Amino acid sequence: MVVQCIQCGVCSGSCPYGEVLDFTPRKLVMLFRLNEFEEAITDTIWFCSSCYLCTFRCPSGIKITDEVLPRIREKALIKETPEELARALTNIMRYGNPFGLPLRKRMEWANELDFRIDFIEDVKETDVLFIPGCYGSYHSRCREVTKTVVKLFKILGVEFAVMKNERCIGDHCRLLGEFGLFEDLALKNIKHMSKFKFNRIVTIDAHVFNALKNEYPKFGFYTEVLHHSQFFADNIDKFEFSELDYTVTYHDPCYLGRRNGDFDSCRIIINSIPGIKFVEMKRNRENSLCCGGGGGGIWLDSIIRTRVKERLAERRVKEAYETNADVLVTACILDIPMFEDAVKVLGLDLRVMDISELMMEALK
Amino acid sequence: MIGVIVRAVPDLVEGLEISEREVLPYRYMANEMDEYAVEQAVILKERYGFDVDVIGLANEEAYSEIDDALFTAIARGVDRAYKIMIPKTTSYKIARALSDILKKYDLILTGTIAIDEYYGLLSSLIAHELKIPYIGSVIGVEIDGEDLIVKKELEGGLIGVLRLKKPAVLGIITSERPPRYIPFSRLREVMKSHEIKEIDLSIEEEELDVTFKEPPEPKVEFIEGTADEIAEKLAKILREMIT
Repeated sequence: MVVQCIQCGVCSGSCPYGEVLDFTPRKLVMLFRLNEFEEAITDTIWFCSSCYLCTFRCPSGIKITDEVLPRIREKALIKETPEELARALTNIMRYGNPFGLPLRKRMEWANELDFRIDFIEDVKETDVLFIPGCYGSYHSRCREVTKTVVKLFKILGVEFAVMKNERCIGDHCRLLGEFGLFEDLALKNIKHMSKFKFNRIVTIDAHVFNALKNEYPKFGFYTEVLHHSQFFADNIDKFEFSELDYTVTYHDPCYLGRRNGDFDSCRIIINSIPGIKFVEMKRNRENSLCCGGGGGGIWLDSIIRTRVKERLAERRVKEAYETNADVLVTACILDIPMFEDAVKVLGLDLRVMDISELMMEALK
Repeated sequence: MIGVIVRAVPDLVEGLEISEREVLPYRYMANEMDEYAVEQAVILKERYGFDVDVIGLANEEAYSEIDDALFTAIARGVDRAYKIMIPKTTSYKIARALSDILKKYDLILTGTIAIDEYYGLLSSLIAHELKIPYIGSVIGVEIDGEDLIVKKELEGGLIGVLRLKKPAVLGIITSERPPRYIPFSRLREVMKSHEIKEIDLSIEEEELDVTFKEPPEPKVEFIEGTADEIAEKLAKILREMIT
């Protein structure tokens, strides 16, 4: 596959970190092809946030994000793993989440609701299996999104359940080159999920969506997987939105847009809410700029900051701010903490909302 | 040759069940400081070419759970792994029982304290049994011929450098660099290709007198008002605390 590389350099020119890397994607592909990539293992191998822009634009169809970089990182993990990344991976290995929190606290968010929800372990059979992922389960801000989505399910009258024994789905592990851990997580999750009957999976995490849709089938797990924006866009006629007087811009998540080709679900939802003025950012759809959180980027800030003055998330919220929008809507769970932190760092007057939260506001 | 002791302690993330007479952990893990001791031993191995043994101590419930930590130690660079079943007993008896097998090592490393009892007794008692020196709160070790040059944390942010003759027992607080990450596939590979030898020391059980005392309710007071008022009240409280 890598032999097809024509060394055109589109990947290096596309990479949002291109100018600070010791080895640009073009060089990495060449070294990988020659099997001499040992020298390419420097700090900057951890910079890639797996935004998929290089792979998306590659004229030779080389899987830089999914294959080349993780294979080099696999060797880098053995040589030296940055401490903060090592901690996150050790936690995933031991507790099934990067935060080092116990499994019994995973579904704690469900206690914060004013209605009861079903667990698939109890009901055994359901229509929609809802997977909030690690951030949606444990991260205090992201849990708000999880609860909002569940409330929207309730409004739609969807028959759904969540899984008490959900473990990290593992997409970041795979992108970080921790293939062994990804395989272990995938097999454990598949073994658990196959005990129950459900028609489809809905998730709020773009990386969970990607892994279940594109990677789990490699382990023999085939099921319909929907991102929550897709699920709500399909059911958009059933909502009666009231007017919202907002100017809204939308950030295309890498793993919903570029990787999985869905640019429209969120735009359909936004445009169906009356009163909203929708504006596009400079970089939109397939050219969207990554928040910097994917592929382990969310755990590597201190390494990335040694060479990068302005985080990707900061660049992105500035772009959103320049559109004069009041609200930056996104659909990837990592974006919420990444962008909210960036907004605080820059002191901008901009709200960051998940697409489900925007829907909920229009329903009030 | 270096010997490293790794103890199985309750995993506080998973929680504990506390009753009047017993503390029952749901799960066990390696004591964190002992993991730093393993890393320090591997650093010494890389630097000076020592052989390193790791010795796992675990009670009956943790006896199989300690395997993960021992295999991880092998993956980090340790040469051999042993494990010993420890019954309910005192640190004195454990140290006495261990002294026989620890005699052969030039250097014995372990965490300064284990989080289960927080006494920091075991390493010093081992040194006492073997009649060799003990240094705790160690953050770095170098070897100069027969001498050890040991860096130790002192009070007030000072670092003491001590020179002593081998053999010795060192209580590690942290290693010169954080414990290296072992990828999952590498760990699996080690599990398949290595084994842990069991040592039976037949340590005598001893009835420990454990009583549970309800901790006193902490006094919580919210200081309200403007910034100046809060500062004044806070200063008053702090002044009372020091006088």
